[in-house]
Amino acid sequence: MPTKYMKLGSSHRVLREDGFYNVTLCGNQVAFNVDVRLNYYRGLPFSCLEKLELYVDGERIPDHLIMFSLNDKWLNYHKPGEALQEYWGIRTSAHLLVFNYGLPEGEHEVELVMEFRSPYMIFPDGDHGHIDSGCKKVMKIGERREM
Amino acid sequence: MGKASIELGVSLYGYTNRFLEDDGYGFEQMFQELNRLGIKKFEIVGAQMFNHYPTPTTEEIENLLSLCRKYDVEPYSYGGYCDFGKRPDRDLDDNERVGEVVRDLMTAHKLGCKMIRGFGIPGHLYPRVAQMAAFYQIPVCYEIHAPQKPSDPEVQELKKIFEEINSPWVGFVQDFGCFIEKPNPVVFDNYVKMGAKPENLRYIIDNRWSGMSQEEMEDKMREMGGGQPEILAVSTWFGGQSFSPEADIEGFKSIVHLCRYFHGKFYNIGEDCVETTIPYEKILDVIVESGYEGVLMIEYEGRINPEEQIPRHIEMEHRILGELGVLKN
Repeated sequence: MPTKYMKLGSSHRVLREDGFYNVTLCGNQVAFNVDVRLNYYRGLPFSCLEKLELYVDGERIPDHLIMFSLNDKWLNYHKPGEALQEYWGIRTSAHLLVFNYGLPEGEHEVELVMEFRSPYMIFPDGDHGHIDSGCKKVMKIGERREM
Repeated sequence: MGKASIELGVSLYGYTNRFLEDDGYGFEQMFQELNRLGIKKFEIVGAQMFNHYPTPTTEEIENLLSLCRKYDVEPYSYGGYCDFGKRPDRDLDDNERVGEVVRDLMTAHKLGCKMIRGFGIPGHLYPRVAQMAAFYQIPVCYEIHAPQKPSDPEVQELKKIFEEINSPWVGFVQDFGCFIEKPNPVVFDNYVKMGAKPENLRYIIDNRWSGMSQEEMEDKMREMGGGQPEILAVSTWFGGQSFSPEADIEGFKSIVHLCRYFHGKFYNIGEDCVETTIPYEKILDVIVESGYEGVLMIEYEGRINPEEQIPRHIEMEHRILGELGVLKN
């Protein structure tokens, strides 16, 4: 039986410390950004995204506050099937822009729950393989950047 | 049947970890390594090393080809996929699947590749795939990959299909990971480092062929106090690194005439340059006996130290194939 559940050993590369910073708009702090990559050995069709949840310091960020950008496009991560041709390469960072007025200076525990359907592995019961690309990391929020 | 002649190539897949971890490490550094190794031909996995798949951008293709010219290396085989599960509502239908294969053929053609490693193509579509592959004159090769073995009914069914189609444009690429006879000690040690209990890992190995299903083994691990590392080990040893006390050499003999090229898979080789978990001598004997003239693509999947491991593999191949008098490079 092929491997049904996959969580490879590169989860440390998912949350990007150099892509974690507060965002200002018209001079006012309105959001924070966190860059995200895949924990897998190959890229994946964006449409295989099945679950994405973001937690900061133990609190879940409401979905409606999160904007998701990949390949310079703002995509609806709740409905990835709308972007069937979009590909998430393993060296490509997606950007999560979270409109919660940003985060206090200092360190924060960031947890990303991110799961994908395997696009090429299927099992006799009809289930696809499952790719866990989640990560939890303590990161220091970077200097503010104007949007 | 003519005398065999085998050229060694290297799959860039072997450099996966470095590629993942270091954005400054790319084709240029890999090709410099190929130059040091004296290797001309390589395989590239498109879904991994291009940012866009199944249709890489023109810039990505041109960048790769420009570096190939600079370092005098050539993309021999294109590691393709058929991402039939990309839609959330349903799997791709037959027409869509063939379309995915054609996209890989287009990319392989632009790169000048001589082979495609196919994946996820159902047997009944191979007549159509053969027709498209003939247009591009690039064989599409079903990869026999662990836990599958050549003797498995699905592979034998494909053999019949390929024999009926009787086309040079479809066939197999045999991955040697199908012939693992015992888990590699390095893989075992890695799971211990991740926190698995050695006695749990030994239980999985000792009972791999006891009739327990993967799910039953996972339950057993939980019962024995195992955690995520043990569950991953079960996945590995029931999946991509499945092993069997006796390699399926007879099965391999039954399909070797349909193999268009080979993946010289390995996980770790010691300082003595002897692979202790995959019976390379037996496998290579079968290939040489078949009169194969072509490329053996070395595929390191140990993920730890390709700069050390791939040269060791090449030295092993030089010893075995050199003695058989069939080595081309």
